[in-house]
Amino acid sequence: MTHHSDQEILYRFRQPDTKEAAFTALVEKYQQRIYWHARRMVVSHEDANDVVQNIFIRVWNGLEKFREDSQLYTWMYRIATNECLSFLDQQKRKPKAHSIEQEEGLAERVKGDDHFDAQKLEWKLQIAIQQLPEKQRLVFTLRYYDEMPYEQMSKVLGTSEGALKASYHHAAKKIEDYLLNH
Amino acid sequence: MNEKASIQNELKEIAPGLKSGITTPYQVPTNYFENLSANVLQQIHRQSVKKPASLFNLKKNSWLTVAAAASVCGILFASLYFFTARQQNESAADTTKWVKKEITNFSEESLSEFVQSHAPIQTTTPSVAAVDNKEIAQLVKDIPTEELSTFLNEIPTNTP
Repeated sequence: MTHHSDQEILYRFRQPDTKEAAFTALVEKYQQRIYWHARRMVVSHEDANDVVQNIFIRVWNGLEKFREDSQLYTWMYRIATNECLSFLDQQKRKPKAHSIEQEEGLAERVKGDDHFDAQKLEWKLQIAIQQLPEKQRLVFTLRYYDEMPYEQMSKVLGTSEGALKASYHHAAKKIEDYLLNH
Repeated sequence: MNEKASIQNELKEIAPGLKSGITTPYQVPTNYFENLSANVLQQIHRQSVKKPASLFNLKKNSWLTVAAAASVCGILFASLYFFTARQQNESAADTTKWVKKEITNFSEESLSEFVQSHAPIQTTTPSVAAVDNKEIAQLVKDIPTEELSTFLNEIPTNTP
C-alpha cells in the first residue's frame, strides 16, 4: 500500500470533495501505530478499538485547524496519548462493583487474554510493563516499541528530554528486575 | 547512528538483561485494519446526524456555561442600571444649575412682577351668594316677564 505524504493528505483534506478520501488515507497510514500505542496502554482490543475510534474522530474534528508548526505524526500521538490517559482515568473513577477488571489491575487483564502464555518472554514483558506507573509505562512503550526519539517524545508528552531519559532508564531497570525474577 | 541502533545501545547500557526487539503478543481480529477507516467515517457521519446545529452546546460543562452566561448578563444589567441612573441625576442637576444661573440675570422687582402675573388661576366657581343682588336685577331687567316665567316653570321645584 502506498502512503501519501502528510502535506498531500492535509491539502486534500481541506478540499471538500477530497476530504473523506484524504482522511481514509490518513487513517490507513497511521492506524497501526496509533492502534498499538493505544492497545499497549489499555490492554484489551475492545477498549483499544473504542479509544482508537475516539482518537480518529478527534483528528477529523481538529485536522482543518491543524497548524503545520508540528509534525502530523507528533500531533496525532499527542491526541492518542491524551485519549488513552482519559480512558484509563475514567476506568479508575468507575464504581468498583461495575469494574472488577480495573480492581484486578491491568496486569490481570494481560493474563486474561485468550492467547496468554506465562512461559513466553513477550507476555512476561507485557505483565512487567503493566506494573509500571502510568507515565513510565508511556515513556517505555514509546521508546521501546515505537522507537521514538526523546526529542519527539518531549513534544508528545510535554516533558523535558532529561526527565524522559531518567523515566525510561528507571522503567527499563524495573522491567529487567521483573524479568530476572519471574 | 540511526535511532534503532541508538535505542539498542542505550538499553544494553542501562538494562543488559532486557533484550531489545521483543514483539507485542496481542492479537487483532481479522480484517480489523481493513475496515477501521470505514468504521471511523461511519461513526463521524452518525455523530453529525445525531448532533444538529445548535446555538449553544450545554452538554459539555453546562453548569460552567450557564454560570458564565449569568455573570455576563448580571454585569450588563448592572452597568446599564448604573449608567442610566447616573445620566438621570446628571440631567436633573444640570437643569437646577442652569435655572440658578439664569435667575441671577433678573432684578427682584421683575421677578415679583412675574410671580404675580403668573399666579395660579382660580378654577373654583364663585358662589352665588357672593354675586351682588343689584347686579342680578340689572341683568334680568331687559328680559321680558313671560320669558322669565317660562324659565322659572322649567326649573325643577324639588329643592328643599
